[in-house]
Amino acid sequence: MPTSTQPTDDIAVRATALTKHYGRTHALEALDLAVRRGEVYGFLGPNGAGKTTTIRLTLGLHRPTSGTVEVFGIDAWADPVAAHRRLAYVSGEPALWPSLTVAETLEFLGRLRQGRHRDRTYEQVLLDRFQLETDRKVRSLSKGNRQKVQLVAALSAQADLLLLDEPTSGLDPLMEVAFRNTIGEAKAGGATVFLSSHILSEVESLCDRVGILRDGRLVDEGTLDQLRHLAFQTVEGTFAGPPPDVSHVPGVQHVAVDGGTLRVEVSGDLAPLLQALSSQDIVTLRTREPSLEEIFLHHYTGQAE
Amino acid sequence: MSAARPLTWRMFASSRGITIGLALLFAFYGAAQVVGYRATYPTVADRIGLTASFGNSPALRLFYGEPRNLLTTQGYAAWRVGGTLALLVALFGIVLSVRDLRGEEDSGRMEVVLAGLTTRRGVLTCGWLAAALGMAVVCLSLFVTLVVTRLPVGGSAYLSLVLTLCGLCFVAIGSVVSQVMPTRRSAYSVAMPVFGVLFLLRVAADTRSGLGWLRWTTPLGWAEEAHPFTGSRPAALIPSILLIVTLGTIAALLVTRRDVGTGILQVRDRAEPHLRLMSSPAAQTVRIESLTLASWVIGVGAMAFVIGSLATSFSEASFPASLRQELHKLGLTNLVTPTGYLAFVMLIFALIISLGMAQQVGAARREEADQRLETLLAVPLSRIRWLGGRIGLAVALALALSIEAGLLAWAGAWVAGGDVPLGGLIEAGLNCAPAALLFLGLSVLAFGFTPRIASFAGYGLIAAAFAWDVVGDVVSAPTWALDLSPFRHLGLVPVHAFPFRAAAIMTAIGVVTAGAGAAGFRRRDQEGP
Repeated sequence: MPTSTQPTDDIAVRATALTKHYGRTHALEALDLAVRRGEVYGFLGPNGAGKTTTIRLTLGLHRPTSGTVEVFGIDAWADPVAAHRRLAYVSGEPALWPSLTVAETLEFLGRLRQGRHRDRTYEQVLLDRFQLETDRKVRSLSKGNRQKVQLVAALSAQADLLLLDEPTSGLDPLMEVAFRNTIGEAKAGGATVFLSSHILSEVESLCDRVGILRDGRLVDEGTLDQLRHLAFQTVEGTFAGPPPDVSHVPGVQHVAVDGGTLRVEVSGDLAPLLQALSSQDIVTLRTREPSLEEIFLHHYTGQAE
Repeated sequence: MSAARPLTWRMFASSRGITIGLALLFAFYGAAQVVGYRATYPTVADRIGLTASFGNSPALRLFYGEPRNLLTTQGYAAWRVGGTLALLVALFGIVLSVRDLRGEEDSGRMEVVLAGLTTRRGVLTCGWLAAALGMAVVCLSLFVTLVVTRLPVGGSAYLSLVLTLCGLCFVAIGSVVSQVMPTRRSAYSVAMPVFGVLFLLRVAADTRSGLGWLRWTTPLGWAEEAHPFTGSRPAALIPSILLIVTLGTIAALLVTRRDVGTGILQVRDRAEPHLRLMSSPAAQTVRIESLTLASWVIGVGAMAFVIGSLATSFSEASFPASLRQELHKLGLTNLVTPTGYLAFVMLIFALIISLGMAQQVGAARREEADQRLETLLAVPLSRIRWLGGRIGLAVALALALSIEAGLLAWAGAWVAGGDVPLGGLIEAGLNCAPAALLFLGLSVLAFGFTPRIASFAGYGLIAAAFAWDVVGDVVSAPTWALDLSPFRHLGLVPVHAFPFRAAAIMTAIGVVTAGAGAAGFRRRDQEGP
């Protein structure tokens, strides 16, 4: 990667108190975010949480109401061209020119990058991998195929940062695998990947760190292990008699009783719960870390009620 | 069909901006003509003078058609109001039908509708209803205006009906073209030349003796032959009704014989790569917009050629003495020569090329609304460079069309055996450019600050300025108010000297407003549809 010779800040994307209001809609509220160079950062959130707004601000397409966002230390709004020399972007709604063919589109987008080297060999590898026919006109492509054109253009640009906004929303499962392999290659090559998604398995398998966005605020962030640890654990026990009442125990929520079986979620320290459970005759006891899906749902359903 | 009403309403509402704008324009224009006529020509003697002079001017017949009775307000209204507005309803009809019947499909929205209970013919019917509704609103606005200005109710209704039918003929033409052509752009590039040919047929019929029968070959001629306010001839409406029914039937047959999202003619799905015109966004725009740009070049060229060829029929002797006297008084002696006629008629290209500028800014806005601009601006390409490329292309188009208009008007005159100066006509063509550049600047200004209404603002300003130029005189507005219209500052080149000062001022305003627009664009959010 050409930029490794250029020692700069260790942070690829840094948002500082980034806020964006559209009229009365508060799309983003004081977002602080730091994506480290070389990591794959998963950006999770349901529709309307502010993921695309964050990316548009990072691209300098929209102007922050307050706060800043920097790409490799370059202010995204003040100097977008300099920032864009370092990044490549794939949008969730692939908007291309219907009358151009795939080959022409790649050529056009490649030439617009001017000085930046376009790796034609790797481009051909990607075209084969994603099974794209280059003589097809964009007009005749499905959404997934148009998304692949954007992916090939972005990945063959050898950019230091890949900004991907739900890049696989139109891909079939086979192509999803190809996508994951390709992101692995980009990471191995030293690229930083900022992946906005709501496909949890994708984020779980690809991302080093995850940020969870809700109503324009970052509600949780960390490695998957950290999130699991910090979030909650599921504790399931069977009892000889009726299970004890643990609803008043600190950190316990979502208590479910089914005959002699008790299932609870607990966050924080486990000791008070274990103490309460031991007051009855325990037959079996299991604890389980949550899946990313459970963490995600926990953040949304748990607090929305 | 329960879905029919919301769908029709949706289609009608999607064109509400242009519909309201046109309805206001029709009301304003109609009222100004009627009131102005009464004020300027109060006595019968005045009106006889008018008939003998301007009523016989082929230059005016080009735009308004053949006057039938200029002694009454009604006859004057039929000529000045009916003649011009027939052209506008025709263009409006094409825009409405292509928008509703091809544009909606091109955008993919129709698939959602057709996946429901609505049939293809149902969508077609809704498109027609929406277009007819739009046409009715515009013509109703004229009807009310004419009645308010004390013209007879029956005659006013008849004139409005004639215009509505004329507009619906072009809705019918647009709806067939929308079945045949696969994209919105290609549909326009067929429908607009059809309009051009039908207009030129009317021009030939109205301006050349012996060709009056040609009026029966075009819906624009049928509107004239219906003789509104001048001994109405409803039988002349029969061809319009027959055309609407025939083309409507053809469209209804074609709509079930094609795939949704494309036309009877299909675009190829595959092509060998052509890597020309790829080096910059501006070059790529030339490539993407080639069909539109070619339509402008061919349309302006054809019109200039025809206008040039008509010029040869002018000589001092062909003008009535009264008109010569009036022109002498105005210091326009040279106007009664072919060159003088061209100097006057060439001014229409200032309007046409200005509309071309609004169209170019509209195309730039569409690039943003469809979010392709987001794809472009995510690569290392500055907003200013992108917009600068679009503006540069528009300026090049304005200059090319201006020079072309002069050149082909000269060529038309030359082919018809006339003797007009080549250099002078190119000057006359270039005289149109500063006004176009001014409107380009104003459109860019709107794009920079109010992108969602940029297109509407561009066309609206041009229409308002042109309407003001035409009616301002008639209502005896004060000079400073008349001078607000840029069209007022164009000289009669080459009869008079090229108005360098006005040209410099208009160009400067264009540059400043475009610069301000670019600064606004640099600092605003990208806005979707």
